[in-house]
Amino acid sequence: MSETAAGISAPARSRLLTPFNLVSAVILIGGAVILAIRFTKGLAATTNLSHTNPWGLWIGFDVMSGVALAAGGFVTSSAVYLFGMKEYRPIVRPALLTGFLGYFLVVLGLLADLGRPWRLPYPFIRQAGPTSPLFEVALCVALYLTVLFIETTPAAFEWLGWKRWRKLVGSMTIGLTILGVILPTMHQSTLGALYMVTPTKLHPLWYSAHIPVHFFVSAVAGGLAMVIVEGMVSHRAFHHQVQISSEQFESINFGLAKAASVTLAMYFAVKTVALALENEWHLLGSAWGLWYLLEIVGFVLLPCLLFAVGYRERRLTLVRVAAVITAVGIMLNRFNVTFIAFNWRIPAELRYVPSWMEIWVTVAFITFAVVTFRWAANRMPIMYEHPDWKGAH
Amino acid sequence: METLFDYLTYTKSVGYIVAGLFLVGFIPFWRFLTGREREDRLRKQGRH
Repeated sequence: MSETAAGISAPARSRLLTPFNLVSAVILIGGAVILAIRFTKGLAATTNLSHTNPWGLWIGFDVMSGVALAAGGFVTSSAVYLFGMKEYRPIVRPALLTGFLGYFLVVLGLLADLGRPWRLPYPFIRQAGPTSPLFEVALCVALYLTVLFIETTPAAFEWLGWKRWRKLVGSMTIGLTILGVILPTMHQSTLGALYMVTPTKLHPLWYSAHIPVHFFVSAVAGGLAMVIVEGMVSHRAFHHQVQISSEQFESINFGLAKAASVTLAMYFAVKTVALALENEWHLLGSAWGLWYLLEIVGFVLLPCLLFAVGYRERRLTLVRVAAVITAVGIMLNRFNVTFIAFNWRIPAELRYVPSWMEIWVTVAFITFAVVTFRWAANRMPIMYEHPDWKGAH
Repeated sequence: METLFDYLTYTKSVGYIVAGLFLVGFIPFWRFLTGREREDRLRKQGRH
């Protein structure tokens, strides 16, 4: 392979011009242009946000759904390193990388929504506001993003051959995993707690005194589902790197399906009990009630049963379908809480609908995560174990 | 229901009944979920 002055070998350079790369480049450049407009001309030039609807797609998807779906990282790492479920070890690194990229997107989405990026450290150094749930979210997300970054560095150090650094971060695994359980538990629920101040704005079917619990339990289910979805895609894309047998891979998926089924059953129970405690049965007969039932029956109860049947009958396709439905269901729930069932009393013409530029930026963020995952997995031992570090933390 | 006490008693009662039903219902759900797994384990142990 002849190397160019830029350090890229000729075949590698020719591989840059693939349909995937070209489409990704168009999406990313478009996203960068829109973000440049947003930072120079403000939110009004790029979004449909208003004083009535201050939180839209960037918060509903990038932040709320992103955090929930990135929960797979802490769920799998705690299963392997804290509960000794070593059979899930092959999926820890892809799950942690997905989690890190998911949280990174959360910060990007938040920056796009908030503006003034230089004020990002303000909650820690200028105006703490420790009584605000937002302070807790900011602190936990910042700390957990750091934890996830350190947790993903072993793969980078193995790739670079930095043995001393690799040993150092390896020795921190248990401590990082414990932090990686505590921090998401806190901020996943606190994201729900943000909405406890909105009893007059959020529809009563979604508003609950127990909404922090709903957010946490649904995030665990969403994280498990996302690990299955990510495994389904990455095993196809990086099949040449995968070292585990297809039986072992299926067994891991079935284990995740069992956990997801139980978690979704718990989530369904918690939601129904909340409905009973707040005596909102009569609202189920309304149009909002039907929309709520679609979310709870179609995107919680149905995937719960599909996971259960898929696990029992060892049907991987059923498990994957259930995982996709669950991931979509978590997004739907966060959309409902953030903007669909929020301000539900206002007239239709005042309701928030995301602008095409908000959608484009969101797609650009996802594309950025996919491209970064692909870049890392093509170079670092993400889908396989490095021969020098087999079995090491 | 005329007083707050009536309302809370009613909603708490229904809430506890629903929670109890879920707890009881979890047993057949778990048995269904792990039924095949249990059969396989017993088959492996040669009891079938």
